Parts: sequence; structure tokens; C-alpha cells
Amino acid sequence: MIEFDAGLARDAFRVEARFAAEGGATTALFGASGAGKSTLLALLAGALRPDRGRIVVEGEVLDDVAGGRHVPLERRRIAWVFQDGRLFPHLTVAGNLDYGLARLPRGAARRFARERVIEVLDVGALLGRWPRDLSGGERQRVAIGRALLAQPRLLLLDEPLASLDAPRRLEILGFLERARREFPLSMVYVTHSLAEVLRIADRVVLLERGRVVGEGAPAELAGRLDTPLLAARPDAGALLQAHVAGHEADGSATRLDLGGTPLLVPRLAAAPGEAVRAYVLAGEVMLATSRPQGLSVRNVLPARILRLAARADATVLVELDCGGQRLLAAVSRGAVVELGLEAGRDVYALVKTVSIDAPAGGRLLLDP
Amino acid sequence: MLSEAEWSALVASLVVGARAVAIGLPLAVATAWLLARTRFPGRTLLDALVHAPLVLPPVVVGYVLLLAFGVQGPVGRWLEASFGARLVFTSAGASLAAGVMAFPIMVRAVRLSLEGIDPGLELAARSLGAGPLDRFFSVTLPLALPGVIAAGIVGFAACLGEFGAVITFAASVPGETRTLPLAIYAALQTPGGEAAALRLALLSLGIALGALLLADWLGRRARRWSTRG
Repeated sequence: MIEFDAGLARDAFRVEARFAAEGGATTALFGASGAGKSTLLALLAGALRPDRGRIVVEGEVLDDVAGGRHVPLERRRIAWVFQDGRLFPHLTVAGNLDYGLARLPRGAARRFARERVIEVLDVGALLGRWPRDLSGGERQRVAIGRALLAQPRLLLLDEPLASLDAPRRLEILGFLERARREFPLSMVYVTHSLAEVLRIADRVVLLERGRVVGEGAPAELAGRLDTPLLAARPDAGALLQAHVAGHEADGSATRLDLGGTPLLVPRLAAAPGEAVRAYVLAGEVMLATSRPQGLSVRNVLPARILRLAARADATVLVELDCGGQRLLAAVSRGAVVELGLEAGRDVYALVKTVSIDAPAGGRLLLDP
Repeated sequence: MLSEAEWSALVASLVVGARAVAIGLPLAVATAWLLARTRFPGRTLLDALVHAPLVLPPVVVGYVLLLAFGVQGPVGRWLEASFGARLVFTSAGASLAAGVMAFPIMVRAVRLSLEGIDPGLELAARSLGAGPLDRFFSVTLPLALPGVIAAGIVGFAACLGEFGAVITFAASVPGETRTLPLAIYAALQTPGGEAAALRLALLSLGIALGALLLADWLGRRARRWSTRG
């Protein structure tokens, strides 16, 4: 359980935030660079001291400005995984892993066993190696293991994938998900990648210029039109909740049930009935005013326009109600005029099966 | 090959230098850490004080030491009263004078290597539960080791070469404070001492070169495992 209600004046602006997170949940701090995400994380970690407010983690008051209380970083038992790993170059992988473990207070609970952490993060073969001989992905795995072995009550991840290439990112995301299942622990995850938020977070805190501008489940926040930060992004889209209905006989695609409406997606290794989240980019949804014929697009979804929002780049983001779920489509301003798109109008949303794809960053997601 | 007086000059030099580095280097590491990593009132003053021997004439440094640590000086009197110890005209006094002169050189070398360490590593150590002292000995010092070794060796070489401060504070007592440069000077003052002066000068050169080679070798060894990973 995290109760954060604190602020600090920085050079350019004030970081002033208030949010809460349940124990065991993964909270994503999401925002553009310079939004104050890292400052917030440093406040939580205790590297910075707030000038207002209180920070409480699992019942312990870590900061209380009015009461003059500030628990120093080294005594907070909050582990921190950095963007660049920050392994100790003069220690082997084993030495790095054991650094926090060796400094545990006597009698502190060891919830995460060394062998188990090594196994889950698959770093057993690296134990005798030096950090400079590791690849970026290996370093990050060791860094995560080192943080877990410090037996923290809260794990902070500061853009842990930002310095990796795309395939490595997916790999580490997979390890993070495994670690999250194996080791029940509250996590705060800082990122500016929507794909990471959707895949890893239970809750999102949206930040802009040092303020919280939105808070909620990822599905609620993905593509929220009233959140300029999200609507303006090229990867704006909607997160659909669906169930696996079945697979195509030729094995080429999987049929999802979108609350009565079928949606074809690239073949998914999931059994019928399993819950699935699919992220559909607004830029990959087309609109038609009548049911089109002779098109290769196989997903033609009846929908009703809820709202239109003009974007800075001469496109309009159209929010649709599609069988009770929200879908976003990005269309040009000219098309809106030509087709007479307006709120309340019934249209068809066209989504290419192959555009709902996983490799590009986990747009197609299995619910844990 | 060497006369007894020349041997005793060599031994005196090594003893004076070794003692000065043994005591001065830990102090230099602490001072360098204070200057590189902390902000406190009087930091600029400390910085200036540490570096003063670099810009002052060595004779002035020796004289200041004489005022403070001499038989009539406040610290000298206290040392004599409390421990019966006297620094002036002793080998320990020569170490003090040489160590003060070499101090800024050692502090600079250590400080440079401290400033090369990513403070993020110390932050990582903190988040893993390491307190200030623990952090220093488990992360900062090992990573700064190449610089600390270099500081020790260069400081030692500087102590061997110190002339003005040593002769002013500790005089030139054969077998006690007459180090190599003082012995060379004494030989040159003696009629027919040119050959002895040349031998001592060559000896100094040999020690200096040896120290530099040793520093280079140790530095390379230490860097191999402390390079940023």
C-alpha cells in the first residue's frame, strides 16, 4: 500500500502529486519526459526530500514534512532499478546479486529466495561474469535480481527498458512479468511507453508538468480523449477487452468475442474462453458510412460515433462505441467533412487483422 | 658502491617518504572525498588550505610548521607535554614537512578519480541498504583505487624530492632527516663531493623512474576490474 501526497519545488516547476496504490499492485507513472516522473520516483525512494506532504508505504510513514520525519533512502527498504542498470563494475554478477542481501537487517524476512530469483531471471549462467562482459539485457536482468534479493517492500523501476533495443525490451518485459507473478510485491514503474504501461501496469498515474492529470486502470486511460497527452500521441489507441471465441480452421487467425461482435486477430496461443486485451491503434482504424463490399479487411465492426476531437496534426480522433467498448479512429479533417461524421452517427469501423499484432510492442495482450 | 653516508641518505629518504604516505594518504582520501562529494561551509577555505603548499615557497611552509610544531609552537609544546614527542630535527618531522608538501598532489589525484565515479552507483548502493561508511568502503573506495594507488606513489616520489620545507623544519641531520636531495646539496657544498652528488642524483633518478613504472603497472591492473561495466 502506497499513500503518496507530497510535493517539491524543482528548477522549472513544482512537482505536486497525490496518488495511492494497493499493496501488490504495479503502478505505472506515465508521462512525457520532463513531466516529473523521475522526481516523483526519487521522492518515493527518499533520494529527494519533499517540501510538503506525506509519503506512507505499507503503513510506515517515510516522509512527513509537518512532523519533520524523513527516513533515509538506505533504510526505506525500497529497491530501485535504474535505466542503465548501474551494476557495480568491481563486483561479479554474484557479488552484485548479493550486495543487498548481505546488508539485510538481522531477522528481516527473506521472502524471495536467492535460488528462485536466479532461476526466474535466468542469471545462473552469469554468476561468475563481470558486468562489463554482459549484454544490455543481461545487465538489466541482474539489476532486477539484485533489487529483488534486497527483499524490498516496494520495487521502483525507472524506465528499465529505455536503453535496450526492441527485441531485448520484449524479452525483459517477459522476465518482469514472470517476476511479478513469482514474487508478490508492490511496484512503481516509470515509463513513457504506452505499450509497456498496457502490458505491465494494474494502474496508471498520468503526469503532466509535475501534476497528476489522470489516474485509473490502463484500459480506461488508453486513448482517453480528454487527456491531451494520450490523444496527441501517434500511438494513441483503444484497449479492447475480449474473450477467445475460437481459431480459424486453417490456423491463420484467432476469433475474439468482443461482447457479441467478432474480431479476427493474428493467431494467438490461447484456449477458447481465455480473456484477452487487444490494443488497436487509432491510426489503423478506418471508417465507412455504409457496409463496404469487396475489401480485404475482414473486421467490419458496426459502431456509433460518440465524440470527435481535433488533433494538432490536422487529423481528428473519433471515439466510437463498438458493442459497448470504446474504439478510437484517426481520420483526416477532410474526411470528417466529406462523410459528414458527427456524434451519434452509425458507421462501420474497419480494422485489418494483421494490424492487431503483438511483435511491435505487445499490442495484443494476454491477461495475466 | 655507495658510502655509508649515502646509504643512510637513501634509507632516511625511504623512511621519511613511507611514513609521510602511510599517514598522509588516508587523510588525503578523506579530504578528497569531502571536497568532491560534499558541500559544507568553509569548503572553499579547506580547498585553498590544502592547495597552499603548491603555490607557497617550500621554505615558507617549513617556517609555518616551525611556528606551529616547533619547541615553542602551540602544537609542538602540547606534543612534548602530552607525549614527550618532539618533531623538529627528527625523521618524523621530516615526514611531516614532506607530507604537507605532497598533500595537495595526493588530494588532487584521489579527487580526480572520485569525480570519475558515477554518483548513480552510490545511489544504487544506498537503495540496497548501504549506509554512508559501508558505501564508501564497498563501492567508492574500490572504484577509486587506481587513483588512490597513483596518489600514493606520486606522493611518495614527491616526498623523496622535498628539499625546502624539510631543511627548514627538520634541518639536515645525517641518518635522520638528511634525505637524498639534502645529501646531494651537502655533497655539493663539500670540496670534491661532485662524484658523490652524481651518484646520489642517479639514485634519485632510478627511484623516481621505478616509482612511475610501478604506478603505471598497478594502475593498469586496478583499472582492469574497476572499469565502468
